[in-house]
Amino acid sequence: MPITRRQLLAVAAALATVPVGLGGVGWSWWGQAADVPLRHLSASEVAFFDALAEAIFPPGGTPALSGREAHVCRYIDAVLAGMAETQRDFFRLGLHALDALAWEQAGAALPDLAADPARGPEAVAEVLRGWLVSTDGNLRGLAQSLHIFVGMAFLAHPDVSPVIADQFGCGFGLSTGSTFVGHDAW
Amino acid sequence: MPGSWNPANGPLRLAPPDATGWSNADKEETCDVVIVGAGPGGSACARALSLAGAKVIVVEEGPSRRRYEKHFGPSMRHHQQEGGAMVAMSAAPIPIAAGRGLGGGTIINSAIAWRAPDDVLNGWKDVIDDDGFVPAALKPVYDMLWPLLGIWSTRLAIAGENNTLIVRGAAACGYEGGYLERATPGCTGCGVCYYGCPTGGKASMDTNLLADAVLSGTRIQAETKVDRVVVDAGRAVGISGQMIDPDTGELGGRYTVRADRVVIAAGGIGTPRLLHHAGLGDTLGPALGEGLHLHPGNAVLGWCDLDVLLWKGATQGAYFHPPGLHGVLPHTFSSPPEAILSMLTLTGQPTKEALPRLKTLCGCVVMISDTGTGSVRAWGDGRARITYQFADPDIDRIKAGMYHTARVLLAGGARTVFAPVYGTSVYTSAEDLRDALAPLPVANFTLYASHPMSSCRMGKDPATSVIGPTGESHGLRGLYVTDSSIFPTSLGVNPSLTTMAMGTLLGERMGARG
Repeated sequence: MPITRRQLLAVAAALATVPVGLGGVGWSWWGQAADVPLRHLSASEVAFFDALAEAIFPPGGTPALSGREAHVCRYIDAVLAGMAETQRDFFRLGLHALDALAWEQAGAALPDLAADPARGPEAVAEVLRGWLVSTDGNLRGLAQSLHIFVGMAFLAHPDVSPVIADQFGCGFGLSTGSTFVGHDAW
Repeated sequence: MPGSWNPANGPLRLAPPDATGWSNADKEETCDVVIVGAGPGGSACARALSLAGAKVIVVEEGPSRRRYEKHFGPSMRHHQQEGGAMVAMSAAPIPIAAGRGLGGGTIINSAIAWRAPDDVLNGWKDVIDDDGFVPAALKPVYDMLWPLLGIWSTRLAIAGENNTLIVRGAAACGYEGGYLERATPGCTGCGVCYYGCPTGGKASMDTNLLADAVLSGTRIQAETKVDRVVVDAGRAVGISGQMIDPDTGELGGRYTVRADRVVIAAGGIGTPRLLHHAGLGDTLGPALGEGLHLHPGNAVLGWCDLDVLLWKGATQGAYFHPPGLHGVLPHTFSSPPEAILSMLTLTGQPTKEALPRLKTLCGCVVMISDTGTGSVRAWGDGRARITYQFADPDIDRIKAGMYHTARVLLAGGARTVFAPVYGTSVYTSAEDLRDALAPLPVANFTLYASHPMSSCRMGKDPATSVIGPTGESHGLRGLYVTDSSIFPTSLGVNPSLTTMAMGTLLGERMGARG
């Protein structure tokens, strides 16, 4: 998909907000049955995120869970559901632009790189590292934003959060006049 | 000031008020004053007007009840304007946070309480040609707000290690600083102010000024996005908006209010965005949406040998003044682990290996009173279109502030320091960070802003301002503004308290005029 510089700027701007959060998130996405259909991500976009998540959080180590096993793509799909349509369009445009860029730089789309036995997730990680330290600030910002997105999903997974440290030990769950929405509502 | 608050009983802490939500049926109402926006400016103005006997309706875009959750995404969907996706296009994109819901920005801020600096207010007097907002005029309002909101200095017991480290480091460097005063009478140190206070410990407007206004007769229509100002015979006589289901985004009926006065209090981005989207750009003059200030900032982080838990303890509970740097205000911040992780730009197993170490990171953000300015317009679909031009001296002051911040972090206990700035590394001395930052352009920085202001300025000259000292616009009778967009210049400190103070004074002026 061809992308103009102006579009890339708009995409980078839209995704630069990820540190402060975007959209509504399916809270227990990791527990969803595999046959529950995704609402927004296409099969190729799921493959893109699986490759990215596996490159950032490979299997093994502590925790043993990988990014793909944490069902990061389901989290992303829920985030997309909470976005305005224009934002969603920009987001997907950014994904396709990055996938096209991977073709230019590594000769294959990220999922194909990951699936290639001779190259594998490490090749995807190398492409991603290049983006994260690119001299192009918009590309750098875009890659960093996706990194946060994947991180938001992975770090909130119940198998992962204990590795980091105790979080939010007070507050949420207390009854002090606040009205909370149950997780299932997401 | 009367109302339900009795100072002898301590801070005013009321239950969140009832608000009417969206519906499918069209609805029309009348009142004396309709206020668009339930943030600090709108809430303070509503309270002052209600106490003066006016019939007030507050119209709010956000949800009719609290929709807080313990992670950014879900909370921001409901409690940040445009779902948290507002960005100023600049040499480096600047994400901008702006709240919505009953309490507006006070729902998602850290409740930091500063009085406006005297030199700033004295400067405003010349621009406004009115002494209604000089330090002596605002002092009694600040004096009322302090005990009413329960503002107090962050206590050690709930401060958390990051705030303590900054206080310790600033003292070791000989810098003026300490724990911040915050409007948090019941704070328990969760570190999640940005998501909406889960314990009710923060003095967001829905627990005091807005709730008190409702007890005095104000009514609230929430889940309604105003998109029109009704004009009749050259005067603003009401508003019209779209009711929206906050869960599904489904459009409901139209909501219309006829009123003697219309007050826009949608914030430094929301107010000019709304007025431009409503087609009032020509009517309100060339200053509408111009002169935007942001208080942009960039963080400095450090690796420690102790557990800091940057996401726990009082959110933004400590500060210091770097010597010789006017308008540079470093203060602590809280950050969820995933945001910190992204700053490390790791992939593969090193990412996982870093996870247990995230708890040893400390950090501080360097905020500046900016001389650069931006503009706010509206895209065709009503979202804000924001641009910003950095001024070279501002980026120099950010760099200088980051150097002093690195000194403080190292003196407080960090072993190494680094900044999310492209082209830098990890350093054991502040001087090395300073030298690395010196040649770098602003495009390399990872900036953030949460204090949009000055985009509908108050002043005497219609060519350079939108409203006069009564809060009424130069170009359209009956249309008023009261929020941070009216500040004639950058404030230099966190703006919530001054927004409340200005809203109170303007509401009292309107109420006195009948």
